[in-house]
Amino acid sequence: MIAISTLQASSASVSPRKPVRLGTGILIVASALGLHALVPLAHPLFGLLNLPMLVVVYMVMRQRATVVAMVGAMLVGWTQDGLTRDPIGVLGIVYLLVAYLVSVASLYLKVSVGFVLGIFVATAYLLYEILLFAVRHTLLGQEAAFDPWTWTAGTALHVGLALLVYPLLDRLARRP
Amino acid sequence: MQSLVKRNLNLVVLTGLLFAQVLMVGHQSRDSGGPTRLRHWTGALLLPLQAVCSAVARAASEGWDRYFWLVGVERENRRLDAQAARLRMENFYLQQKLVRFEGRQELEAYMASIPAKMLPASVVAYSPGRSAREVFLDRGRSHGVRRGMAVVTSQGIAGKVEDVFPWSSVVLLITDPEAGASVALSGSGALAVLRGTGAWACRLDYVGPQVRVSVGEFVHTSGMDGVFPRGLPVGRVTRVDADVESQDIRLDPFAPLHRLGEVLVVLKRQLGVLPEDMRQWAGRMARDSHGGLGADAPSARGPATDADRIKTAYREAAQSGGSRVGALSYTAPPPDFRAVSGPARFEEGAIAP
Repeated sequence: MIAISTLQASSASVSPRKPVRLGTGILIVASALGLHALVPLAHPLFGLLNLPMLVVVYMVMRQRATVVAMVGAMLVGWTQDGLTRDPIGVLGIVYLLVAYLVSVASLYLKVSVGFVLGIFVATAYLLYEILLFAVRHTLLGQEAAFDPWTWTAGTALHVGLALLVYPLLDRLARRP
Repeated sequence: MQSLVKRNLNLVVLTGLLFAQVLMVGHQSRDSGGPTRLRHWTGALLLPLQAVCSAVARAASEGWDRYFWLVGVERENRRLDAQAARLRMENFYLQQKLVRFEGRQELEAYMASIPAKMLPASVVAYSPGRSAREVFLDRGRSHGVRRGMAVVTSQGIAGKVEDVFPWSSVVLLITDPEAGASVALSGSGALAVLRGTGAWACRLDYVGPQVRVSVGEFVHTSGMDGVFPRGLPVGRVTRVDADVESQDIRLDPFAPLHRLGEVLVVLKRQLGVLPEDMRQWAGRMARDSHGGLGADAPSARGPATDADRIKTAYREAAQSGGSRVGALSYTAPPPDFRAVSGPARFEEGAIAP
């Protein structure tokens, strides 16, 4: 309860339904991709982090038009796919579905509250992991490992990071 | 109909995009010849930026380590680490050389273990995909890097160049499930295929149940895959689960694959740099053996063993009939070995199993 109260008190509000400017969006995505490839050099545990996914969730929450959010998320997925050996479209499919569900859900939820935001990001991350597992397993026939412990650790990491980073992104993306 | 589409526009777009991407993924999975165009351009555009970011981060980190955080200890530690790595590799190399330098494979072993031309490179990023174990290097096609080249560290082998961009390249680490290398066990000398597991360990495939493998045994490259030079350290066996038909062998790579910094790309094996004495020896052997490397080496000194005596007797019998052992001829008559007699004659069942 203390942790939840602390989260609620310390998290700044996420401005709902105010789209990020294109230039800022590209800058944020490029930074996320760059950092995502760089941070595992510091410690292998950071390999669990998926910064582009967090950025996608953030941008989708701020985007009014679901179609634009989906296309944007898909393009981020393609770019990230472009840096891996997986076929282009694997992360595109996953981000597309995550973007659609997050976009629809954020219509009904008040994500400006820290606790709700945490639950929201946790759900989005788990959804991402499940979808990625399903796509790899069914579409590519890869031996994807079902690892609930890694997922749990990843969820905790992403929620913590989202509560820290989203207010900063809010400031960065604030329109004049 | 139009209003139905308009009302469910989001779902329609979602379905269309999903369908298109599933087709795209299927097409690429079927045709996985090389890097896609998108991958090529993403790599070419993003990786130089990545290299700059990495250089800045590394410079900041090194600045802190060298000038603010235990300056002398850090430097001394690095020097000792490097020295230990060099000595470990030298020791392992000499052990392997000692084993292989026995007998008539001396020349082959020497040729395979001669130094290769290598290019130092820095790891600037790890692959953003969790399923793949890949790293990005700051050296690319313009530096002479090509697809399929081996990448090693001072501790052991690291991987193979998978894709090459103008100023950068992608290395598939040996821990990737799709990576493989031909290796040999140091104890028995048995050959095996190294496979990645997707985690930070590897496994050895195709080791028969009759081969005795012990935990802690060293594994080195066999040089038979045409990628890694022979005798490079690979790792140490950590687990052996044997059953009647096969063995499940796991090993930890020597190279610190989860925190790679500097690596070496093996540009080419310098087969033309044999020292003068070895070149003379190779020429002598070639002359003695009528073109076959070491085929008749004992004959110059006279037969040394029973096997040599039997072989000499059969060869002479064939030559007296106008044939030559080992040479394919459609005109010469088949050799008549009935003339061979005495102790040199090989009787079936003469050698006990």
